[in-house]
Amino acid sequence: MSDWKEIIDPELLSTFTGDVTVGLDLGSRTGKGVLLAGGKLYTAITPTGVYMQETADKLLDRLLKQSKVAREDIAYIVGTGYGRVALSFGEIRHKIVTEISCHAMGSHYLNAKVRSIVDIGGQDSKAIRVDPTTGKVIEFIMNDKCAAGTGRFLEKVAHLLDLTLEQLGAEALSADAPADVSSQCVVFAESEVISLKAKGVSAANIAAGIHLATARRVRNLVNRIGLEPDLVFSGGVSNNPGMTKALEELLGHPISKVKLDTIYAGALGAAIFAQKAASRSDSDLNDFALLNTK
Amino acid sequence: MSTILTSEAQEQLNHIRHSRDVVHAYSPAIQKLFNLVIDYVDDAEKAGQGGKKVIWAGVPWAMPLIYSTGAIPVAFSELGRISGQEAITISEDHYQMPAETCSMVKATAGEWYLRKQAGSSITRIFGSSSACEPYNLAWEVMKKEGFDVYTSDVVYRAPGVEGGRYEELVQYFVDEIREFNEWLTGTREIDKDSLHLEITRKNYLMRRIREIMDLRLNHPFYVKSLGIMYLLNGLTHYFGKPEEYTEVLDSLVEELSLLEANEADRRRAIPLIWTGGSGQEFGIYDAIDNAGGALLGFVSSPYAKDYNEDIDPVESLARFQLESQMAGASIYRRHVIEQQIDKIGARGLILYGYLGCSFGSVTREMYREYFHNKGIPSINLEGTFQVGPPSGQILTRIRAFIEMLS
Repeated sequence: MSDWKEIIDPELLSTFTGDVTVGLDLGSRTGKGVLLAGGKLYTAITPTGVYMQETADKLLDRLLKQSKVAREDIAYIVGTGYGRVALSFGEIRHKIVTEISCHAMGSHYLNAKVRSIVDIGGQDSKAIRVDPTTGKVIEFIMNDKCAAGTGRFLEKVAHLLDLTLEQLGAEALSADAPADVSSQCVVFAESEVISLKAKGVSAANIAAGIHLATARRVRNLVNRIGLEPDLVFSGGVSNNPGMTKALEELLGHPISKVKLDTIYAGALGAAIFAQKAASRSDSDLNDFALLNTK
Repeated sequence: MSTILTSEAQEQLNHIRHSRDVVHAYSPAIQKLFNLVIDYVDDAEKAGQGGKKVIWAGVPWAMPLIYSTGAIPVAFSELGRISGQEAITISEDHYQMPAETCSMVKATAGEWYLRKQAGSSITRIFGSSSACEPYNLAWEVMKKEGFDVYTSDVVYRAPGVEGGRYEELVQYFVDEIREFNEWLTGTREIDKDSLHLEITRKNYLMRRIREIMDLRLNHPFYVKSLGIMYLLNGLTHYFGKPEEYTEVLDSLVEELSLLEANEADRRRAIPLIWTGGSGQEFGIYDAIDNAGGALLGFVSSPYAKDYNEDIDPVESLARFQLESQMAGASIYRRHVIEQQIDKIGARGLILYGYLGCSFGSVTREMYREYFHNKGIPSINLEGTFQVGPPSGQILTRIRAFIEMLS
């Protein structure tokens, strides 16, 4: 639990309302939740279970216990992430928003100057450009063709090196000569890692090489949309120091420091969308009318 | 034979039935349309069994000519809807087509194999060569499989081709049309009166489509995405039943004309343009509808301009093709996209293509960059030709794209 003032960019604090809202980000590997109430921000995290609704309910229960907020006091819930589709919260008003919009909005509220986001999740990675005046997405690109450049790729490699995912990132930081991992394909990279191990290359150097290979993939996404500072790194892989280092090295630009673990950026964005939706009666309408009838 | 559906294709059929019976329960015209879709291949098979001339045809320009001879064309595009993973497996394993081959080619070839095994009455295939190298491979495979395959050459109109060179292309294409007629009927002589009638019919139907597209601007959600896609697909082949398809368009014009303009829907709609082939993963259309996107512009079947009814009908057929957005260079299609953007106030483009189609992927990149520089965002979707549910990531991208535009 933290005060909003300690986390949210001061420029945007005034846009928060008194509504109690919840954002639930159900990723492919972990579910994250953020509850906003009474000037405080609460977070919860849990591995994603088989049934998304159960994961969502578990996150919500934890948030309510922490905050001592009554369920009936929740004004609005926004669900996001891979498992958002099936969410239902009975009498509580709710809707779904994509994780792309939520990561953009969450990152915007953590740093109002943010213009570029790298979001690496368990299943895919994205590069997003953000409008710094609204927090809305201007452009995005998503790697959804294979596991290269995703948390799943790193998880696979960690297993091959007998490391946990957390250890993999830390191990990479102690590398003295990162291995050259040329393949961007998970299947081929697996063979490459086994081959490097057989040659006696250290786990640290293999880990660093793998992070650089993954970061190259992400760099290609960022290049497609154009990198403009400030840059925020969000998603499940964002608290991996090895990946942060590799990205900064390849992108040639520092990743902005914010005051919340950016694994929660999507859930925070969802909670902020929930604030906006709670205060709008016409939240489903677009501010647009067709131009012509002929 | 009746259509044998894999479980994936059965799912797509359920999707169409749901769209007919639930989503469009208010529209008798769209219900008729979906009945045509569902019965198209089965009824063509029955017609073939009854002695009618029925051919597989994947060449849009040829449809008026095919109808003028009394034959029934069955469009390749419908094979996607009734095809599943089994067809792909046959192409990759039995025919040894590389996995990277265009999913449309693999699905069609595999489906033809399956249908032949099941005793299909449709054993003749008309395709176009040169346009697509993977299909050239498929034609050869199908010939060996015992199909009577005929391919005509396409005419590519490069930018700047005018004057004498243009007239040469027209003449070359006229010769191609006559040769196709010979394969189809046994003679190069074309029944011009009959072709003229078909051209007149086509002009009438294109005018009707234009009316519908204009009326939809006041009712952007009356015909949902899957419905409008099939309405436009039908403009190419009429689902083998020209009179019934005409009735669909006539009655839809009437339905839309009787409605008051729906201001709430007009405010809510995010006008979008769809370019590229028809997506066979119907969940994509649902995702667009559910996010508030309205497909109000299309760049696939040409319908903006009439055939010339005052000249020789064979020449008219050739000139229509050479002057349309399908003439070859992608710049012609780009012009149509630009016109559509202005007409509907489009907020974004959906650039759709099939997995493995390298031609399409290059064109999509060219469009993306061109329109991005003009301030029109786009999303590049790559789907499979055989049916199946779209991946969660594709649905996320569609929804995020529309959220971005809202």
